[in-house]
Amino acid sequence: MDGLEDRLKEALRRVNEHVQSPELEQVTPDLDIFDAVDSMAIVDLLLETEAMLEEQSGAYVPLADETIFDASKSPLKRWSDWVAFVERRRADAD
Amino acid sequence: MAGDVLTRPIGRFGAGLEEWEVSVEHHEIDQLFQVLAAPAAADVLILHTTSDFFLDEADPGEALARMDAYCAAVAEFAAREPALVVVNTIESRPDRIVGVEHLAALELEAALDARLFDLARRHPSVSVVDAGGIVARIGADRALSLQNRLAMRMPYTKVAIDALRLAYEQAIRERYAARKKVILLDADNTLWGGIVGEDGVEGIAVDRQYPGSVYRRFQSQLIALARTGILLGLVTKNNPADVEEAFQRRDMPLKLDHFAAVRVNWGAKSDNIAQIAQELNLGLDSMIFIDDNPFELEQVKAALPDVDVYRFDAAKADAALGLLASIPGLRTWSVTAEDRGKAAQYRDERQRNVLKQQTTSLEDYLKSLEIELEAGLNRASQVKRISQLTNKTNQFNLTTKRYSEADIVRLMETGFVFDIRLRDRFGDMGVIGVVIVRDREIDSFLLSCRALGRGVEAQVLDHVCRKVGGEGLSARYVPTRKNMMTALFYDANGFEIVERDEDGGTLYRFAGGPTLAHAIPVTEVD
Repeated sequence: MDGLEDRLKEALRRVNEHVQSPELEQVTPDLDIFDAVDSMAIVDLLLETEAMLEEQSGAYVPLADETIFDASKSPLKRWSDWVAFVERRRADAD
Repeated sequence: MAGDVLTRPIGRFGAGLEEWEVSVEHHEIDQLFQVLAAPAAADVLILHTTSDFFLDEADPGEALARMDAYCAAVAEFAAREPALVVVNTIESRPDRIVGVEHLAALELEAALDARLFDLARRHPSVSVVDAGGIVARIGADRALSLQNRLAMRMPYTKVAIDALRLAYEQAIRERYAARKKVILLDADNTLWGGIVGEDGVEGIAVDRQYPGSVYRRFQSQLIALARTGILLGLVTKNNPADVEEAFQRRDMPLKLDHFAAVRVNWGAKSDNIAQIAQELNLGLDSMIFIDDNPFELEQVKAALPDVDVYRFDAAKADAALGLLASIPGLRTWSVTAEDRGKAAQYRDERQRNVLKQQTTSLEDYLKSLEIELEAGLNRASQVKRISQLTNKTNQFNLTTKRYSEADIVRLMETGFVFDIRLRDRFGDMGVIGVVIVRDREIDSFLLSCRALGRGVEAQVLDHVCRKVGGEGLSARYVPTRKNMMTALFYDANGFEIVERDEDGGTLYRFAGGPTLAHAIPVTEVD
């Protein structure tokens, strides 16, 4: 995945500098970001990740959709789903 | 911060405000009117509104009515509370399907912004951040995300958020940070292209053709800046005759008269700058040095680390002509009459120095100056200048308390805020001093360095003691790195020590007040 996951980890680390959630310090495939932080931190994470993708590819890839803030469907409920979600959005934008 | 969007990403202030301990509180989204109706909870209230707040499903009349209601609420808050309020222009840019309707939409957005500008004009404690300009500079397609606007109530991408954050930091700095006072300039390849000593006066480039046009525009920018109170100095390694001839014979915007200090010689630039600091009686940290030569910049930075240095590179015209606007220390919210007259004041000062050298004693010199003071009390017309002096005076400042314009208004309601103007035979120095008395204590006592050495200090203290009554009056000295010259001011002027802490901070009480060697006439003004 051309280092995408590492970059997503870096985006999460930057957001957690402000949020300071101990649960976000260790990234595992099952990490549940959605329940670990509030909705403002999720907005931060989306903006940070969008900026990171734009920096990498030069193209703006919007990540917010109707599932992001949905407790039953959000890709942020599992780290591995989040990585796959971003990968999909990036591919759609190409 | 409050807004119709999430403000937390925008309000993550950092390096731009690093000299202050800043904490930011974010109100819930869509609480703008509630926040404006409540008492101020902080020194600064940032209100961030998006175009949706005014334009969403509104016809033009409704949009303008919404803006009027918003401006009225801000105006009421600004009149009532001491906080600085920062608002923003409309960020969106309308789509074009029908040309004339597009123009009407642009016109409506301009009308909405115009109401904000009028608000800021009428209320000195209201600042405006140009969100629309930021979006335009970045490019609307890159700065705005309709997806994010609708899904997250956050219309901006991160690049726009970062730019907005910097703009808000700057808006706060414009009000509270001390402005730089002097720009020192190299000549060759900075004010003109080429080296006058080698290329000759006719060989330097400073005409209307490129690359001379770059230098010519830079000179015009410097003149515009000088009109806002920034002093210009010339520091160049050259033969004086060559430089004088260049200014005399070549048609260019800058003239030698524009410079408050000139050093044309072959000495180290740092030595010349240190001399100019002494001559103008200004701190090195109030100075900026601009040169094309990295070696000279390094030399000055190494010898005088307090001086900020910047490279002028005419080969990169955008950077070169954007240089002055990019220097945070040059920005300010507004300028006073004193700022505008600053160059003339320094010219007057040079004439005073000539007189000083001609007279035989200090006493004769002071008499020959024919100094007069004007003392105002709680004058609304002087709020801006008083706030400015509290924020930029470092040396003759007994407590170094910084006050915004809104703070001064509040102090005038509850205490005594004196403004002191100085005139002499050479000219009007403007308001050069401020004394604030609250709860029977001299809270602030400060004089501009240009006014020192004339016996004015004791005369001002005497006037204040007479006006507020000396009995039971206390005063305080709070030491800083820069105000050592005032450490014994109250000791020498009829106050006695009540207590002194281990850092040197001292509380005094009135013990007769100053004994005046030479009485200076003081006129009270309304």
